[in-house]
Amino acid sequence: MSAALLRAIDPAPVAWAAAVGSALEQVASTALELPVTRIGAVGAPEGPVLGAYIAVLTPGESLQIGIVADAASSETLVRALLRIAESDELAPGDVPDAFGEIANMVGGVAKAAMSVQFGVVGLGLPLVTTGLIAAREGIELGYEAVEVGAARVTLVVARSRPR
Amino acid sequence: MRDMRALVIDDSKAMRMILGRLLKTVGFEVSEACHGRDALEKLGDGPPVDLALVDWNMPEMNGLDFVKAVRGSGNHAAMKLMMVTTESELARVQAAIEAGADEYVMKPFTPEVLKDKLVQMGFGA
Repeated sequence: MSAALLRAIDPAPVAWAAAVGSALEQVASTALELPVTRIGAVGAPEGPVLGAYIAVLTPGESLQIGIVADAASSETLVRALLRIAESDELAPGDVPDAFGEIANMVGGVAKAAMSVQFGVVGLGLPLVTTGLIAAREGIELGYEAVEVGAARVTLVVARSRPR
Repeated sequence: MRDMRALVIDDSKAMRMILGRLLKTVGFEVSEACHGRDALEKLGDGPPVDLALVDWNMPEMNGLDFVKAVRGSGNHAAMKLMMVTTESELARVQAAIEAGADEYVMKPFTPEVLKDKLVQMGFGA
């Protein structure tokens, strides 16, 4: 996720974006056992996506970090996490719950990395929702596309634009 | 000799499923709770539990408060408590150990890491 895309004048959101990307790599290599390819900065996903978002609070900043993916990709990640084969059925509710757990692990790893820089970092519980991403006025959004195995996901960092 | 029993306490059904499946592979009979208060109720109602895997961040009652409640009660003294959480700061680890947790595993983990911890705790071969 590029600094230009985030249009940030201070380094915090960019640093968080980098930390979230690295965290996803770690989660993918351990809990998902899938390879990761970081594609780079992209625009907002165009269709409806499943998104898992976590609030981040530091002494000087509040952000939202998130992972979003379309239905097929989110199911691919969830099957990897739960070790459920393509031929087996997923129970209703398994995809959003497990997708939220992936975000929870990514947030935890990112928090550990960013605590070195920011000191106390607080994370909320994952909020999982389906829909389109649209920026409200005054909100900065940055996106990075990442391939995780056969899944394509987008990492999101959002924060209120400094006044 | 009775079967080993484990209680998996996590608000994520996915994580309960992952941990439960892994525990069954090493011979545990597994039950689940979705937060600390739920776990206390299940411990009160059910047979003795040898091991509880405890998430930290949960609604209703978090994992640290659960550990404090169990260790403070004097009941289930033989039950081993393993925190399994994304909380990785040293201060958190220390807080959990001081409250009475026996082991601490950070998410994400590989199955091998968890199995190694179980062996270190005297469970499994």
